[in-house]
Amino acid sequence: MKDSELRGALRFGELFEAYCSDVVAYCRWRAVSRSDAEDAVSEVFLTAWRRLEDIPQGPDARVWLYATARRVLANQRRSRRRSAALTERLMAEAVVASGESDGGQERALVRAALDRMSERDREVLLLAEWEGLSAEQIASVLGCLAVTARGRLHRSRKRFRAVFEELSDRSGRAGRPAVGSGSPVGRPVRVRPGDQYALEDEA
Amino acid sequence: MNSTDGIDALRRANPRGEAGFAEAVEAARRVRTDLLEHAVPESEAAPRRSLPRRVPRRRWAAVSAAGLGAAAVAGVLAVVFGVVSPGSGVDTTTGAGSGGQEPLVSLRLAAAQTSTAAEDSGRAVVRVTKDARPWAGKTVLWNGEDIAVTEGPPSRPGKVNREIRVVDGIVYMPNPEGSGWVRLGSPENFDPDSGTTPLEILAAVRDDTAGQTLTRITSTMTGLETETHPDGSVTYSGKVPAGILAPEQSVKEGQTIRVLPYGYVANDAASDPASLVDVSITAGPDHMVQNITARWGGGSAWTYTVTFSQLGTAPQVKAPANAKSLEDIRRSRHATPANR
Repeated sequence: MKDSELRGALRFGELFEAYCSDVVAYCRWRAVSRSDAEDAVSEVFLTAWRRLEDIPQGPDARVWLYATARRVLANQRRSRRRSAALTERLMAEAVVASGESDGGQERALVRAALDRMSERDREVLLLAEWEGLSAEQIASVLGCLAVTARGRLHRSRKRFRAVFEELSDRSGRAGRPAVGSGSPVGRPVRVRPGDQYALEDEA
Repeated sequence: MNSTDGIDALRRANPRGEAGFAEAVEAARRVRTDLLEHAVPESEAAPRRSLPRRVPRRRWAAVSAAGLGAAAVAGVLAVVFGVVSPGSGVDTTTGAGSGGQEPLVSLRLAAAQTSTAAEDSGRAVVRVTKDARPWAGKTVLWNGEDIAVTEGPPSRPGKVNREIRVVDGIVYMPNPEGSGWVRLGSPENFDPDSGTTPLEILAAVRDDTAGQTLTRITSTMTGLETETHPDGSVTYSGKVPAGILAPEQSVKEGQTIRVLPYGYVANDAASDPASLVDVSITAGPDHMVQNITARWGGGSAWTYTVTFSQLGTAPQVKAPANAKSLEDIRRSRHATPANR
């Protein structure tokens, strides 16, 4: 192995150890299905391997990986859309996924509240709350101005809180979880390609 | 559960805590092994494709007045808060200058109070002058989620000063075809994703109190000096790189430009992010920031001033009475005899 190859392998190894779980987590909540998430993780790190020299040093490497994962998932969804039988498959997988991730009433309420948000708002919210990115880092991932990311984040937090509170109140009044299989009461989940959480009546 | 619990619950629902996550990470490790064993770095294989660059840009043609107006508030407040953010680590060797620690403490107090008050409501008057002549201006009034922005003075030749209001989630503008106002609908329809919609910028006003702008400012301001006035107000002066005042970069007519809060092009010396501009901040005896002024030279002498008032006490922004919808205007246009 040449010196350059060795250095590349070491750098890739460091990146992988540092950010593997982050990329897996991101792909799991962004991908339409678990199998798609696994494919995406592979492709992200393949891209990283091929473009090691493009990856910034330090914490920005993580942002680069998220941005890459986002593009990989977007491409994945575009290609999925070409399949005529996709919607049915996705709906079936969504039901399975909801059941798998049912970790109690609170988790179900969170999922239901997320269901009610637009994908755009949900993405920025989860990048902040689940991935721990700052507004500036989110802007880099999304390719928008930092001020836009801050604005979306402010708005999405507000919306999430309001919806979560509403669902919690409903749940409290009924004395039972306000959700089933990850969907709000009486609101069937319709999974669209590229929009894991979209609802029938989403604005 | 209350509204605070919502975000806490969201954090607890992080997929890293889900069953099967550790296994998924472990499965992903096979990718690493496979790559290192079989893949070839692209530098030795196919030519590298450059990643699509995501360059933020301001959409000049579609920038809303409200967005721009509030952007100025956001940016200027960011500067104010940045200079004085508690715990922000101003280096006395660069930030305190001849002012020492006591002025810094006062400035921090003023900023903290101003920051808190500005969260709710306030008024900001922005004036730009070139060689002592009025060049541009705007007045921004905000209260909660509502905002009113009036452009000017001066107004461009042949143009009247524009005004825009957002009240209860509805955007209003003066009727361009006559008197009265037009109800334009949701502010989210305004140039979405540009960073200049009213709600986005209002959010930025709040978020900038804890944003990274703070670190940038405090780490770059030099030569802090103070001057106490007879009325008890204190002016804090120092130098800040132009890139801090105008952090945003854009392209106009093929040229790369720096953009000051409010969307004004940073001309002359301010166009160079590294050049130092004079910045002064005046805090009143009530420890509230009253204004911030930046001055720089180059081909001309420029001043950029934002004056704050009514922070925390600004009146409600009122919706214009009898505002017409676009549909109303279309109908009345068709109803006029000339159009029959």
